[in-house]
Amino acid sequence: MIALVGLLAGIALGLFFHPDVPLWLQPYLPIAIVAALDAMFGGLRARLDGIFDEKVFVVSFLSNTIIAVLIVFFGDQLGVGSQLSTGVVVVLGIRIFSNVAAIRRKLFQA
Amino acid sequence: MSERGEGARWNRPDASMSLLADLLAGKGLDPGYEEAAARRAAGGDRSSRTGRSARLLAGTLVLGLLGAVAVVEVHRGEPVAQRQRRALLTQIRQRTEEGEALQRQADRMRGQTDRLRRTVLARSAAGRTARQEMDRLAADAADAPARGAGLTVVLDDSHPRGDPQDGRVTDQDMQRLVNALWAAGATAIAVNGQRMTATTAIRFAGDAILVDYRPLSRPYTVTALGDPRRMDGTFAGSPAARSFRTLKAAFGIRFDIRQEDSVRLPAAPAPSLRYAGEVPPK
Repeated sequence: MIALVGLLAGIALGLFFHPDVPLWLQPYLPIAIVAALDAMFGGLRARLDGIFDEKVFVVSFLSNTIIAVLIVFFGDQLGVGSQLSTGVVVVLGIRIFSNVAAIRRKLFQA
Repeated sequence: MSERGEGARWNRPDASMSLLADLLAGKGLDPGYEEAAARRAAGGDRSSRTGRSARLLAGTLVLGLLGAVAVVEVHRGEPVAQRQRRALLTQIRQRTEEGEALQRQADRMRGQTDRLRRTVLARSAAGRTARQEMDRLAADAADAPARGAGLTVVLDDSHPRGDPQDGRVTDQDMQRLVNALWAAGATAIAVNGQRMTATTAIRFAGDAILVDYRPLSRPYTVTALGDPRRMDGTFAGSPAARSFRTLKAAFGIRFDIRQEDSVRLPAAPAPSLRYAGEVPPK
């Protein structure tokens, strides 16, 4: 419940205030989103497994996002930014899929 | 900390690099959750309920904010790119129109100068001789439009099913054709409506034949001014025409010759004059 309220409030804030993303951060936004989605589905799955922990969720969310952005940033500096962001998206994407699959098994028993 | 959880993890030598193995085994969940659950079971829940709620709220708030900002950014960025593209297109069109208007103005002024020159020259006998000489030279230099009977030759690529490089008309074919037409007695030649002068270059760039650095589009129509019957006879017997007939038979390129009663050739664009200058002594 609290999670849903926070999510909706965050979306509302973003839509209302249109915060200006600095130009240097813009390329990393999509990667941060993918990392955040990964953390979100991880948290949802943990919740369904009954082992959800707020601290783990917040810390893993923040660190995943920052690390994903950092990896891509270093990739950009090394000239392999697009390849590394593909790598990050693939790894996180696999994890998102497997977590969503676990959630689905739990919810629908199928 | 649970002894069991710790032990199980550190026993694995590849624990720090097992991401893909874990993924394939379906252990996508962050191990932190299991650890925290074990910790809670072992030591009881130390943090307060409000503290946990605040953390969760803050985390999900940031998550929602991030998502919304990303969506807004993407939507904002797209119209910008489109706007810029449209602005560039407008600019291109505008500049092209400006260029064409200037070209028209230059043509008009050139015609005016020509007329004025003619009236001035017509006033004296020497002037009239000069005018005749000038007309003759202008015709040779392709500086004036020309019309009369002539010959048109149409060349085009064939459309083979196999290698697209086969059956292509190249710049060399075009050069041979134009040279053969000059040799057959043509007094003026235009390729796709572009007048050939003594300095016109026929070249190849990428996939297109360029005449005076302007690309031609297919099919290639070469118009030659001169006595059609005599030119046709001479041209048909030339080595170039023979080789084109061979190419037509072998690759199926288009090669048609037609005698015309009246063809019009435009003037060549005014050549840019280059002046020799004195080299300053060192």
